[in-house]
Amino acid sequence: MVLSLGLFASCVNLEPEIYSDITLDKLMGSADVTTGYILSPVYGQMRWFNEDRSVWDLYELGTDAWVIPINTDGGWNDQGIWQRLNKHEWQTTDPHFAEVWDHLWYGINTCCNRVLYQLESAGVELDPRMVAEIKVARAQYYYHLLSLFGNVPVETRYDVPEGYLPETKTRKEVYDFVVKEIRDNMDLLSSERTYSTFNKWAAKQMLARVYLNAEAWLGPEYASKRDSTVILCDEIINSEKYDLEADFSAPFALDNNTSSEVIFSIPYDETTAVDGHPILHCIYAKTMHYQGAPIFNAASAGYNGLRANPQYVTETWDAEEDPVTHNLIPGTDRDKRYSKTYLMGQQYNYVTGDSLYFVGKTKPYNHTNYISSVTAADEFEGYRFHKYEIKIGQKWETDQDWTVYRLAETLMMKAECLLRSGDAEGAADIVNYVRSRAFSASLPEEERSLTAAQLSATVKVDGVDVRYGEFLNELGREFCGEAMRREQLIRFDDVYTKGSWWAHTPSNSDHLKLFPIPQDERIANPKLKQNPGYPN
Amino acid sequence: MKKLITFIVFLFTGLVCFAQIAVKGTVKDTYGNPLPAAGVQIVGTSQGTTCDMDGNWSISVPDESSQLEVSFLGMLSKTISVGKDRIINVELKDDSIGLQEVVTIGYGSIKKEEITTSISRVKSDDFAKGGVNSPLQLLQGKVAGLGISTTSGSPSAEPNVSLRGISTLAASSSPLIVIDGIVGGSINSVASEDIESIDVLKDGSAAAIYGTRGTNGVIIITTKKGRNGVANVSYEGYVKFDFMEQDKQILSATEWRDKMADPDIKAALDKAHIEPQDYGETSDWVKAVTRNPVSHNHYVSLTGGNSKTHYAASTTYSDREGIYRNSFDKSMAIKLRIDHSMFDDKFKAELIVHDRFAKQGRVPDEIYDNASKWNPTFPMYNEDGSYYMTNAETPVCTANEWQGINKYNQLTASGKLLFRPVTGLTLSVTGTYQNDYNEDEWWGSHKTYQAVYGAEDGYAGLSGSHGDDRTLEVQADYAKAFGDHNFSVTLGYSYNRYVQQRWGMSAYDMPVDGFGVWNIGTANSTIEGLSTLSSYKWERKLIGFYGRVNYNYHNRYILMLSLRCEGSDKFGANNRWGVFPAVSAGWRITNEDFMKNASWINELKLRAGFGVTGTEPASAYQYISLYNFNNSYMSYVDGKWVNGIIPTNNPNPNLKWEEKQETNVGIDFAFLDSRLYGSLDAYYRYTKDLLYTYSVPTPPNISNSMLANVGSLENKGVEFCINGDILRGKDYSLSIGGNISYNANNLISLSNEQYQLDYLKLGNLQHVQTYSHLIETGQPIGNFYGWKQAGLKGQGASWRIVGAENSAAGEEQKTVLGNGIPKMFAAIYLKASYKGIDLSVSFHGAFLYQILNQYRMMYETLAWAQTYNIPRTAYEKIGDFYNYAPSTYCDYYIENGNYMKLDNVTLAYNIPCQKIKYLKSARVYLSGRNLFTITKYKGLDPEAVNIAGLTPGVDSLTKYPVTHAVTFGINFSF
Repeated sequence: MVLSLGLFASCVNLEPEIYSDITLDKLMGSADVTTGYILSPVYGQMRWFNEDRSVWDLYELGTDAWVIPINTDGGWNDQGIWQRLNKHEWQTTDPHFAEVWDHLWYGINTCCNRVLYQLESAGVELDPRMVAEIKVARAQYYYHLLSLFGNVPVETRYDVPEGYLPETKTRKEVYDFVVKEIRDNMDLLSSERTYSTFNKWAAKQMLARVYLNAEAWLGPEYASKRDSTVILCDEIINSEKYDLEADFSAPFALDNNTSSEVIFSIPYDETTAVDGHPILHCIYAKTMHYQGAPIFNAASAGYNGLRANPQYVTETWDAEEDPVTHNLIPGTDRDKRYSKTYLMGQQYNYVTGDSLYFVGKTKPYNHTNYISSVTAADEFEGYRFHKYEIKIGQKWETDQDWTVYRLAETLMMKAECLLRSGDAEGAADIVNYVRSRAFSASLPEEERSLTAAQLSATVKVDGVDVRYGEFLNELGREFCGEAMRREQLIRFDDVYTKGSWWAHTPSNSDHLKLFPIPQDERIANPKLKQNPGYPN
Repeated sequence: MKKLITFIVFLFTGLVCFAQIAVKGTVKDTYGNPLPAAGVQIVGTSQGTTCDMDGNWSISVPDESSQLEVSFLGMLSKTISVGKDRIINVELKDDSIGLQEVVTIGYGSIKKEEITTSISRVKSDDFAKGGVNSPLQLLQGKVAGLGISTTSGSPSAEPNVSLRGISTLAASSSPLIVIDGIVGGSINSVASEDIESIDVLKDGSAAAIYGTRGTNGVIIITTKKGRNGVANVSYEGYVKFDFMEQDKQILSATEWRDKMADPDIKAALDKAHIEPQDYGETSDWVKAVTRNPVSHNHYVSLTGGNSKTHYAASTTYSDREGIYRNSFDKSMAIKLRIDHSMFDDKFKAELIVHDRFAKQGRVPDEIYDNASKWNPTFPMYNEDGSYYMTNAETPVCTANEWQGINKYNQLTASGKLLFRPVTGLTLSVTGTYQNDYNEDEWWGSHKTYQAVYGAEDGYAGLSGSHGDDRTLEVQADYAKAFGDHNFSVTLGYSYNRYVQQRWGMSAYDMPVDGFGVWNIGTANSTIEGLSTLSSYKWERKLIGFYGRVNYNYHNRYILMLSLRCEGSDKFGANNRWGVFPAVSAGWRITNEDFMKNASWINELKLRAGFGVTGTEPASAYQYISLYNFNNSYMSYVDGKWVNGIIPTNNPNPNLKWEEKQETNVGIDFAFLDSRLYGSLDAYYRYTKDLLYTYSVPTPPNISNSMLANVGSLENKGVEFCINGDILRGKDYSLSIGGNISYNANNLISLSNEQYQLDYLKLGNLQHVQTYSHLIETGQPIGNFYGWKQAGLKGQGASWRIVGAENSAAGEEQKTVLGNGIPKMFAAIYLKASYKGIDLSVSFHGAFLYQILNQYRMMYETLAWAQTYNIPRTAYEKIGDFYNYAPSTYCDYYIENGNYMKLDNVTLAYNIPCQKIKYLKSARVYLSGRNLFTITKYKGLDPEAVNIAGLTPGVDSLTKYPVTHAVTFGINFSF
């Protein structure tokens, strides 16, 4: 055998030849590979936030705004995961948590930490502004971890020794890290308006939102952070880079890339999309009925899942509905945002104008504000999410850009801080400024505006006495479906755990304000601690 | 007379200095039938002759000390000393148990009697009959421990193969295929008719010489070759009719309306707010998408040769129809095998070419499922002839308007040179080239749902692959006897490299129908820059050094040692080479002196062996950190989309060979004039360093899974096969045989220092969205894991789950519901003949396992009555209620899978043709396949359920129904 080995020494070459993949040396050493390709995933990964079972679901589906019932045909049963999300009876093994965890850490570690480390080790000179941008993008991923899971590791190094396992840090430590990262880097960013990349103002808005929630996350000693929110919001407002759009729908229109209100958005494009590409799931696929394609002469229909919670629609909006048909009584939706948020009523074929029916022509295609059963919802029951413009010829692959930060939120964050600090008049001025575009100028003042007293009052929301409850309702009208509801309900007197909606009954369990660390992750990394209140 | 001949011979030898002795005679079998073409050869030379039609032969031998070896295929050879005799009549005995048959083993061959490992040989006479789709089906029920199940009725489908349980987690469970000595050959390159015998190497000590690829056993296929004698031309042809079983679960429109009119059912539906629609038509969807297929197959071969040259050539044409109009398989195979010896047999050249071209029409997998559940009152067509559709494509539209065509060409060509410099030593060099070319077309017309209601107005996709496989083998064989000690040694080197290129393109908005995929450039999506293109290329290399020593003392004690060192470029530099040793020994008790008197024992051999084999990962490059573009990660920068480069894997630099160790003990026996014979084997297989994609934490890893070597599992089992020749006579015979095998599997561990895991949840059940199987340490692989039910609750609105009778059921209530891997396989076969008529009957079955009936789980609830034509049984009460619970994965749908199937009956008549000029033999037969199944399973065919892999026993919804077939065939030989 030894002899043979000697004889055939030249025939034992087992170096693999690689044709269609790139090795690290080639990636970093080759002139063909531009840094742009390497940097692209820093933002590219964010498009997964709005996929099915991703970040959007966790911010909206555990709240009073939306429901996914089980359909009469058994669709959306999915072993109860959607029901559990609504009822706050989730289990550590539910797929949402692992999916979101993976998406966020992939963004942090694989897209940001890795790129920073590899470019640095390869001696690629990076513009300090680019480094700052990557760190702010990374902070955006961390912000979601902070908000959703709270106690998570903080990792900035990619080159860890073999066998290294990250350890859980407290929510306070994660918060400190996120704040420091944004503060250290935001002023290095461009102060010009940018599209789909972080500039100074987008970073400040993120920090303002973190400060706004700090009290709810970490305790009363963080209440003073709202002063910082006001300062940051003022900086953004005073930059005069952004304007409130005259049309409420403009930030959600197909051409929202040019909207003057949008500070940061995640772009999507149907033409560059291929199979397996992330899409904006909630705006079409998740909510549209599977026979809904003719409404938009669309290329694909939806899954008939996501529906507006009827109770939320009735209680949040000042509109009247027919008690028998559960359709809106025309003209009672004085707040234009109502009809600009939902798809409702009888639907029509876009091309022929004919009324649509369910097969067999017996059941009209009519979205009513009524859901007969949590576990056997009928075809067309429930309003559908229609805040984003649906294209004529809409495809499964979305073309719409997802608006993350917009000026209306900047204004309303400031208003909330003023309100909580006792300046209800100042708050009302801002609220009514943002609100004014939602009402016809011909309507009487009292219908168009909210007073300081109204905003300061304690109002019942989802059965809970909520201080500033009308302000919460106003947030619900302005930001419905924008992945903010969970934070709002937690900030406002813990409606999130105390309220009653649809299948959710009050749990009064504080631990539910954080989602559990996914079970599989804890099996893979025993150093991860489970959040308090969940089975270990 | 003798004296006279002696005198003449003497005269001759006297006259001519190199005069020879002429001898002649006849060769007959034990019934006195002459054996035409029997071989008579002078021992130690290449000189020989063959018998004529009456079994007569004559030859000249150098002297009286010459020895003649008389042989005939299937008979025990005899060696005779010439001595004084000049007329030598020989009677050959049937080698009914094939002791002297040469069995192919790794890189060589050996007489069956010398085998020390577990090898099963199946000869063409014993192959499963009646028009098989794949050569592997020839082995169905023939080899103990080898489970072959036909899981699809598609004319292009390959059967499911499993050998001795499940030995690996990640890699495939397919055995290594060797065709005419070509290692890693493709089963697609040969025609079933051209196969002469198949040897199955079952245990580790037999397969270890193939090292890395031998873990799942080795199937060695030997095709027909030319023999000394007159040329032989033969034709074999058959026509096959397939029949589909009526699925009794499907309601006709009339039956459906009866159900809807039933007041009890109506009340149950109303209560659940379910309103099934009567659309007024009467449509039989299954009938509308299927047909009665007719297939035919033709095989022509030419074989012949003399003492120097042998040749065999054949072509096979096959045209098989599937049950759907667009489902077919047409193929053409050619084979050429030539060898030639020269320079006093010192050199021999051998050439083998197999080429098979196939064109396969395929249809979407979901057609049958859709047709079986489509509302039977739904119209098929509008008045203008277009398809009636509402929210989805009807099965009729799918079956007519979507089509796929797959074409492949599988070429295997091998050239071999042998050099015998001195007696006993053979040096050989073999070069093999295999080329697989695959082209896949897939298109939809302007009438599909996508085209009429969606945006993709006509779709065309074309993809292909081209694989190039080159092997070089250099080998030396040396055999030498020292008295009763016989040695043979084999040493070799093997280099194998495979490169594959793949490409694809797809487009939509085709301007007209009729182009299929052959004018993609005209698609509007191409013009708009929206068509997609892709290509990929990869390679792998495998280098092996192998050696074997066989030692045989007095034909009593036999020892075999083998070793293979193999390197693969799928591993990092430190782990590339693996060492795979094997040892086995046999004791032929019958040849011991003390057995001389036990004449009723014809063969008794004890065998024991131990061997190590390896498995490499399925994908290449897993140990290297690789990067690639992925447009899921593209972002929009400075006014344009920029593609993203991301890592494609979590590299594992420690990746190494998965290793299987197998111990096998066995006994071969033949009693009572070899009328009763068989073998018994017991084995223990232990696999360690299991390759599997394990969950890893993120961070620090870049993604949440990594291919790694963790964990171990074991299989133990017994196999028994027995044959009895009950009647043996000149004009009649009857034999019955059977085999049975039992295997028990156990997952020992899923952990090592780095990875700790107690279980894996696997198997995504569509729609109910839960996992189906739990793979747990200390448990067999294949366990169904879910809820046990105790009837319905809430008037039928949901299942009462045991342990959560009054609450929502969760993970805590789940338990093991059964196991999807059959622990036992069995087969029985019978062969009978009388004069020219012969009959064969075979049964096979699988036992001791369960099946998840997914069709029932999904649709056996009124909840789907509005959407689908639910099964008949869905309208039956469970306990007091009609079930309208959402489809739920629970033990109610786990059924006993045991089955026994009459898989073949063949009746044949051999037409007497001694009097017909030119015709050597003629045979006609009628054969039925898959005739009936004895089972309690409520689904269509328990055999069609996949039992391989880690989530076995789940009866798929999207299946191609298996058919029953009747074949009529004729064979001629000229």
